[in-house]
Amino acid sequence: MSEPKHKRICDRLYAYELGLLKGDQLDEFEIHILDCSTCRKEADEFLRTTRIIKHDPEVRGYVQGLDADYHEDSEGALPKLTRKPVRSRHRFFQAALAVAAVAVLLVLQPWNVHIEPEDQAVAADNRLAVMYITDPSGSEAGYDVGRSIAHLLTTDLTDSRFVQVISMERLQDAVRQLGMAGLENVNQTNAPLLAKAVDAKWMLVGKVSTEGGERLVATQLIDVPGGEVVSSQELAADSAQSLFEIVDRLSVQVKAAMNLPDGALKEEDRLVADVTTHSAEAYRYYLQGLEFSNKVYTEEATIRFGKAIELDSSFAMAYYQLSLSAYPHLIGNAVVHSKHATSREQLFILSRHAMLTADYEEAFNLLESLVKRHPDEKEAIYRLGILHYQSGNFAKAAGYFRKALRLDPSFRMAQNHLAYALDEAGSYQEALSALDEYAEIAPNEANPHDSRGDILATHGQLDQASEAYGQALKIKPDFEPSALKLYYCLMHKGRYLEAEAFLDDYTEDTNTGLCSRTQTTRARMLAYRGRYRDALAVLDEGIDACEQANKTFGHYDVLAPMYWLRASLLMELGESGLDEIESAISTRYQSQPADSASYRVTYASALRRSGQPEKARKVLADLKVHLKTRDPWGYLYLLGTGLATLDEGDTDAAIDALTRAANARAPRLQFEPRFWLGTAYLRAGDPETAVKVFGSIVASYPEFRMRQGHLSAQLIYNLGVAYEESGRPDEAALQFDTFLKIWKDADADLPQLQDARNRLADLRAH
Amino acid sequence: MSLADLFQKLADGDSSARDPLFRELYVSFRILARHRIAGWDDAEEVVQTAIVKASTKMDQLTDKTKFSAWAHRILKNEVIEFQRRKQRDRQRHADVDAGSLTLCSDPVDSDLRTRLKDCLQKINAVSGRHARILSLRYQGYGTEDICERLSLTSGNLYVLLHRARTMLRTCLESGEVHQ
Repeated sequence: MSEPKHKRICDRLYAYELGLLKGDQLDEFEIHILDCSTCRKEADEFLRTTRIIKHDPEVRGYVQGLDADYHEDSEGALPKLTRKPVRSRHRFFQAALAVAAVAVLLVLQPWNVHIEPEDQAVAADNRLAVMYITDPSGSEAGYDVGRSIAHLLTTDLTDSRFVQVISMERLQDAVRQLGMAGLENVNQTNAPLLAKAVDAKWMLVGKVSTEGGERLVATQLIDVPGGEVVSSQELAADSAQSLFEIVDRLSVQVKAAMNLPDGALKEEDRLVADVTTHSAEAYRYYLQGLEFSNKVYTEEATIRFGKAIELDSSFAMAYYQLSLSAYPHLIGNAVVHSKHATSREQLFILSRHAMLTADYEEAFNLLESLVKRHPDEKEAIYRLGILHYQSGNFAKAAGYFRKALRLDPSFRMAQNHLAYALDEAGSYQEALSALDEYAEIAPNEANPHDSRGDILATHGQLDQASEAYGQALKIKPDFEPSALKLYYCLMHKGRYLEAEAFLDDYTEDTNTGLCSRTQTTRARMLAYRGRYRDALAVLDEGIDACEQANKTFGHYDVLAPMYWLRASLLMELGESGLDEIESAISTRYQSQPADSASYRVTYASALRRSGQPEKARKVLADLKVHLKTRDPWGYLYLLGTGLATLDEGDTDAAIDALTRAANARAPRLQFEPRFWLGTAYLRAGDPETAVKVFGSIVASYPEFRMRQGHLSAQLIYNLGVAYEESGRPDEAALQFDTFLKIWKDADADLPQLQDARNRLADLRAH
Repeated sequence: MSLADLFQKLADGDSSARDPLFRELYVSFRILARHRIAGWDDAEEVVQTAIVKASTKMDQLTDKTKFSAWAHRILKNEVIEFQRRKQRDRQRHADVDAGSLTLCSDPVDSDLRTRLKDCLQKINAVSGRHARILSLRYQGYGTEDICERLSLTSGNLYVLLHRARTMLRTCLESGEVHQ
């Protein structure tokens, strides 16, 4: 038995113990217990506990007492989490995230998240900007301390109902817009200018120094319109006191000096460490992560957030930040620990959670609440734009991105996405202009060039796209997205040797190991060239490297596609692929427990081929719920149904399902459904329509096309067949010739290879 | 050595494999049977019957690689037969309180009992919801019943149960409950 399969079964011990396994799963687990002494021992110890709970009179009595003491009322207060009943067992995993939100909602209630209109009016009149707390010595350590205090103070005061604290991000944006060197250079002279830009009533500036083991913090609260210092605060803290304790004391003094209503000093004021972290070092890493994140240097940011979590495993916002990049499943951790975040941050966390569980309506509601309470939150406005983008409302998305940019013209991510949204909405030239602006606001960053490459490539400008990717790599030589896309461009153009040499250099220069997306890409391209066995060997190397490595979430994200590709290639070679696809799914679960859709289409195909049609039908039926919730995975049900009916020979049904699948996707993402749609038309005896369908994707955006690997080459072969059968021999010959060039070194026993040769020979003979 | 390997040895004529084979089989059968059957004595009886059947019918097994699956089928059939008999007996003696027939199946482990109660108490302190779901499940309420009582979907319930059970296990190992 393979290790992944053994682990998959052993992981079911909890479910077995709770009596949740049924049918085949139950049998499979129990048979495994008979076979595996390790699992048998573990099960024996585990189940002993259960027997005592169930049967020991004393423990049983206690357990019954828990139920009797429970009050129904508190249950009734909980809102429903999901709008529709969950029927699919694959939602088991997705529901894990939803359930965690229950705890958060319980936690939010005591902290009066609901804001009275009068409080809102007071808060709007008391907009406070906390500047950098500088260290006159100019030391790096002092800089860190000052930055941390300023951030912590902003965080601590954010929860006040009576103060509207301007975020550090907003301040930094405004400073940049005004051409100032940095927040540390703000003083009484230029403060009014900055205040006008951010519409602040109050501003806090300060200094921190260390003398004789004592830390001294001195701040001044400035009334911005009048330009006067209305109050000064001085704090001395001995070495035993943490930054967090200093900030707690300081925030009370600042509020007291702001002439707020009595309620302001009586409102609940949580310790700042309780809404961030108790570890100063973890906080420092967190701030560093934010800086890298803003530059789209994801790996560096990830490392910093990861370190923050290592130091404090309950650091909610660090988990949240990681969930924005490669580790979306960590939003569950963010939700669970969200009591260690401010109410503003909780709204961010919950809205992200809602997005990831495809509850878009809830995400919209939460983000709109956030923006209502914190109108400067460009991040929330930006996320509203992202929601619209993901829902295909590109014009609306562009509107939100523009709104975010009005708050911060240097908001890189909003500018980036504005370009994509404009392009998807059909405004290509405006998209290019948006990219020009992006490059202006981020001149030394790789991503503007990468995005330019994407948009150029979408419009068939491959040479210019390659140049743009190359430019990105000049700025940041290990910028993987651009490296892989450049590789795809070269492959697409048939420059195989150059492509391989480029990738070899890239992996060597960046020390990229075998457990990497690069390895998967290499295998994909070998498959594109018909070298399936070589591709499998490359995948095996990658899989072994990943399985042997210390498992991180990143490894699972790399490993799952490797298993999936392996399964796909084995199926092309007439083998089962079932073990591999099951490994792909279970590996995917490790990093993305909310994902109950990926690889299910291939899984259903593998099940059909291994003589389990009923199970295949069940897998597809489970996908249907995604269609109902209109989430991006919804189209997979249609794709899967199309493939199933195609396998069964019902081409009419296949054409219907695959047409709907194609229409459910944005134009640049239609390769796969259209490939199979064209195939369905071919099998239905309508080669003319097949030609049209295949033709519509032959020139499609190289990255999405080349990521299909072997399908991308087979497209050309299929198009050749379609041309031939529709009586267009010259065009057919051209396609077969192109195909055979791509498959020059393909595995000799692949049926399309010999068939293409025969067809080309016949066409040329006539 | 796995059951399949021991069986193969026995099938190849090595009679010294017989005792270890049936010892391993007995241990495994007992784990599975006691999970499905409440009473210690009842579970033992089912296991003994299954072992005897496996022993007498072993020669009928043609595919040597399927020993575990074959043995499992024998045990499963015995468990089903036992449950049918019990159901018939209950129907005949309806005035007997079925709950009173549930006996403590393991010899008393007072340390584990104390730790269990302590952990259940801690779970209840951290999350009453999780504690309640555990209690309902261990009292024997089915999925639908629990879902109805707590207004949960089955998906939510499974996750809550899993989480609650993890909390219990962690507490038994470390003494602390982590949410």
